[in-house]
Amino acid sequence: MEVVVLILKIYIVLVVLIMSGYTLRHMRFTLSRVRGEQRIFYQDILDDDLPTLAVLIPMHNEEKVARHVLERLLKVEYPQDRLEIIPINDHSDDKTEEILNEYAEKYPSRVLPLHRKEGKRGKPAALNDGMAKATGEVVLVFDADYLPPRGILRDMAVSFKDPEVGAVMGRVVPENANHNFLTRLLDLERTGGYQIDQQARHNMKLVPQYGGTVGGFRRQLAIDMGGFDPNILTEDTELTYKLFLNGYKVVYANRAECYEEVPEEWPVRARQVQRWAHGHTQVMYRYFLPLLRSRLLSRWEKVDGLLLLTIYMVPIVLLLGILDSLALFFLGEMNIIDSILVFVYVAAYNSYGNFAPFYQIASGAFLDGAVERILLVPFLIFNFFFNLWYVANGFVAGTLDLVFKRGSSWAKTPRFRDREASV
Amino acid sequence: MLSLGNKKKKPEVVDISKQVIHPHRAYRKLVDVGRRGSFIELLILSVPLMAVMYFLFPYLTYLNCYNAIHLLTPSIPEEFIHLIRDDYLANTVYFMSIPGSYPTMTFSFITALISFLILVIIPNIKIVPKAVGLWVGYLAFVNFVSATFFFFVPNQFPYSIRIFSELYMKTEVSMWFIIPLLLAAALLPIPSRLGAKFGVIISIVLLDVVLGIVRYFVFLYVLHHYSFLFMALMFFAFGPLVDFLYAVVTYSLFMRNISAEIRKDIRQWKWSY
Repeated sequence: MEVVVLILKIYIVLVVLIMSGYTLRHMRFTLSRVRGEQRIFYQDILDDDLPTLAVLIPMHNEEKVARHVLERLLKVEYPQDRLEIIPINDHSDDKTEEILNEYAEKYPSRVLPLHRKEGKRGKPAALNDGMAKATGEVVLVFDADYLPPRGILRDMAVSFKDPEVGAVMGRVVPENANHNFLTRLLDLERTGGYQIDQQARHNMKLVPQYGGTVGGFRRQLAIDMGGFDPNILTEDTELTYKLFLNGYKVVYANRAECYEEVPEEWPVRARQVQRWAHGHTQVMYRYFLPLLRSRLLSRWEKVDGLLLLTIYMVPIVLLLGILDSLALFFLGEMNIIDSILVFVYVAAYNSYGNFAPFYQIASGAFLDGAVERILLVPFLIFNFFFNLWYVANGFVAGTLDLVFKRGSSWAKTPRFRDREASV
Repeated sequence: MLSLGNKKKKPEVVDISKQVIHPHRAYRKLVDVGRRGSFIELLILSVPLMAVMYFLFPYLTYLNCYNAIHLLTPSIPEEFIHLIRDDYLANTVYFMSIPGSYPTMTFSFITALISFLILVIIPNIKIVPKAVGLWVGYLAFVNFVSATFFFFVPNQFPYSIRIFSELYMKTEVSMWFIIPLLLAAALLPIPSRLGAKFGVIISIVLLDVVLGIVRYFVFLYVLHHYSFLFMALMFFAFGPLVDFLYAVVTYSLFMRNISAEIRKDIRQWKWSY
């Protein structure tokens, strides 16, 4: 029994060390973004020789939003002879196909729909087919619920003038933030994630993440690296690591803001988070060792890359930590108070919000000029328990994929937009 | 449409130029105070308060016990209430010991059953937001484990109120040190007077002390009158996590006020480049 208790105690200390590591990392990020020197992006470069672009919009049953994204893209400021818009109808059985054909008829040289009715459904497979059809040097991807503003394509495309850049990522801003309590919390999470986290990584030349939408990459490079694996549910995370392992960088464009629709219902959010965790876990198992061994990344890129790669493991580590401490409690071993361990235990609790800690989110909202929204920060504690459970589920699913060598299927995020978007 | 006979009106000129152009949120940042400046600010905000708390915590824990004794005396005979003094962090901490009560098997069984039902039902009720349902589920799970333990092996329960009391008080003292440090770090990036930041940290610690006193009495009362069964719930759900929540609530109020105050004050903001 003594050995069991010792193992349980060691695990608690390990949890605390992991949490403390993440807490310090996010504190460093917050200071870098709020007060530190900001790394200049490329949008001030003026160049007539912009790359040719293929804008891919994967769509599966997107009749509620398809028109909005297309209308916005038809109004963007980018040389028309260098732009192709390819909406990908991925096995839709609603009116998506009709809508895309309608736009193709109306704008035959600009909207070039791709209808996928065979093969595996899902974003990675759709993007592979889209890349094969496209001719542009650079692929920019938007999810169907996004509302790209006029200047965004140029802002992102110009970064590819730098030969080191393999992918670019813009900022995601919820357009339905005021809809309900959940959307407000998600808006706060996005603020912490983009305004602070991504920009700080860009500043510090670490590993900004290509997020799969409002972002882009070099088309031929992605094809040469094997395209997207249809079994990986987070093709964006995989591309990020593939690029870094091949000596390319991902850059973040904080000014390239694009509006999206965040889930308005908890079950939908649950499925989304679970899918992200599932896919991220698949990528973690595939790229953990190659990342460690790579000679193309700096030491800090590796550290940040590993912490990013294992971020979805943290909730299950914490969940096990809670069970561990419950076991210790009933074994009478919680009486560790005569030592420094009380500090350590309390510190673990204090790091509960490490997914995007409270100070990071509040600082991000502060930079955004938000006022009343900041008052919602304490309510993120509910989100923490929610994430804890569904991310842990996704992590287990990703692990089971590895153990049983099973495939995974794509779960689409339902849309809520029953109102007219301002197109 | 103007008729031909009308004198043409000179169009009114509207000045649409802005008095002040604020930096876009993507480019905003605050004045950099440098690593040394940040470190000094961190020390100024945290160390003096931590030092004061170090000298004060014996009195505060004594005050805590004094209040609990005062409130508990009507329901518990005085001879059963003990004030204990112990060493902690090379100083003295006070806590109490009172008799606790074990749950009956029936009480444990009913509590386990109710907790189990809550655990299964609440997270799956559609009208309850999933996040709230999971939080309630977590509370029910901890209570279910505890009730099951007391149903099967009540004699194996390793704690008395004395031990719980000691654990609670030493955890509280630890929080009084951690909160100033944590909040000082969290407030570092924010442009506000040092005095204001110091004030907010002091108020959080004071709030924690006052609410900690109330909590201590409630915990002892529940453990004495309603059994040890709820000890796990108190520790895991209403322990340090609640201290953390007080801190974040007060911090967000402060941040809200500062944001409202300076968001249009151009002098505070710097362009990224």
